[in-house]
Amino acid sequence: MHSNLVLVIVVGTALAFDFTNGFHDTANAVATSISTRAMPPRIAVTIAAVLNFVGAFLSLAVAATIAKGIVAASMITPEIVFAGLIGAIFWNLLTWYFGLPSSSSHALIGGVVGSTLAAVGTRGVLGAGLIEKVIVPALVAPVLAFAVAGLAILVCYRMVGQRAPGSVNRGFRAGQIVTGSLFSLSHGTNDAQKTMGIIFLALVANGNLAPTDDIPTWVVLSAASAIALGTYVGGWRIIRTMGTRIIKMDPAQGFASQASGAAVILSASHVGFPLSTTHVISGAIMGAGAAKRVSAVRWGVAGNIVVAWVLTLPAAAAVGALTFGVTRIFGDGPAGPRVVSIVLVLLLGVALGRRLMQGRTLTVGA
Amino acid sequence: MGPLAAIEWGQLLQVIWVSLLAGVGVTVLFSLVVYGTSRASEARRAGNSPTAFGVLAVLGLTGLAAVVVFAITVILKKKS
Repeated sequence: MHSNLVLVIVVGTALAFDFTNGFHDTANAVATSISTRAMPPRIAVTIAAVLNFVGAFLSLAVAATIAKGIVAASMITPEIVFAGLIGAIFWNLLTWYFGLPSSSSHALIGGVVGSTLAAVGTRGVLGAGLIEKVIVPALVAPVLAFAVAGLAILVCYRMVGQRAPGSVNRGFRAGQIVTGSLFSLSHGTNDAQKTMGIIFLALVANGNLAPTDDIPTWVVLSAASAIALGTYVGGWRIIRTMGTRIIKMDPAQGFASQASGAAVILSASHVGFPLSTTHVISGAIMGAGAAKRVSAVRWGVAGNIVVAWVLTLPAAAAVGALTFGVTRIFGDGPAGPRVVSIVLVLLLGVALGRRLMQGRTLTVGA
Repeated sequence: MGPLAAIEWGQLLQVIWVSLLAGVGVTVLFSLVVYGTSRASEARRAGNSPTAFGVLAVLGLTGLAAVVVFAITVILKKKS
């Protein structure tokens, strides 16, 4: 068994990642509802937080994929998991700062793959799992969501396009409460599990669990709580990008985007594809916009988002590998993770303090 | 073995067709609700019977509820 101190640091870092995951991905669940005024912002994030918490308990298929399908669990140490998490948190915070809706899932997977490569080389990475469970869903998810939402909104406009806009908009705003809730639930089933998978991987690496064991209840509960709290805090920069900068959305488009996104995520979660909810909802929003009029989509903003998607895996992997290298400077004991986590907490504290001194909070109300 | 051999095509196809069916299906069902309620209130204002459009809206709503319940049931069948 490795050091319990390292395990505690890893679990704490994993929950910190989970918080940033919720914080970063709040936009996925609420941006369309807020921008079409289906729900007031604070109510939207509260509902999203509660349903993310509930969703985390509903399925564990994706957690199993993360824990057992991407890297060789037998070669993983808690230090590798720690370095991977730092890579993921770094990328999440960087993309949040620029208001870019990138994938927290890919940041996590990229970070862990990068630190694994740095630690044990290519034999630690399950290439087939990476292709099947990450690369293919990453290509399929946004295109599928784009197509489903585009088709859905075309059918929808055909059915209600001749009706009075006032009653149609009111109707779809009400409908968005259902689809937004379903999307939040599906986000919880998909994203909270990734942290569960990572904590499980650390517990196996530390010798506390066998790879064949079930995920402990305390892991499910703590991951669900962290993602719900992060969701409640809300990443308003990304909410603005997703809700107003990709397309100017009407309530029917908001409904179609959320319904299509939830359908894609739930069907993928069911078969254990850890796809990115960010890719799905962004693709769906673009699809709903382009189906109405191709020029309705601000392709410059969409292009920036796609660039961030492409960079997520390699950038998080690079930071994960670098972090692992830094922790190794202090030997293979708990000193490395301890030093890195203390330095990062101090840096975050300084950044937060500077923002507060400027009289602004990290999140800006919509 | 090529990289494409790693892909479980059956599962991927399942995700595609289920997503298409569910995403478009839910939007169609809710559009029926919006269409039905809109036409029902127009009929009421014109002094006509709103029953047929009201029934259409209720049918759409029932279908939507069934899909949501089915979706949650599917999630609850854990595959881990």
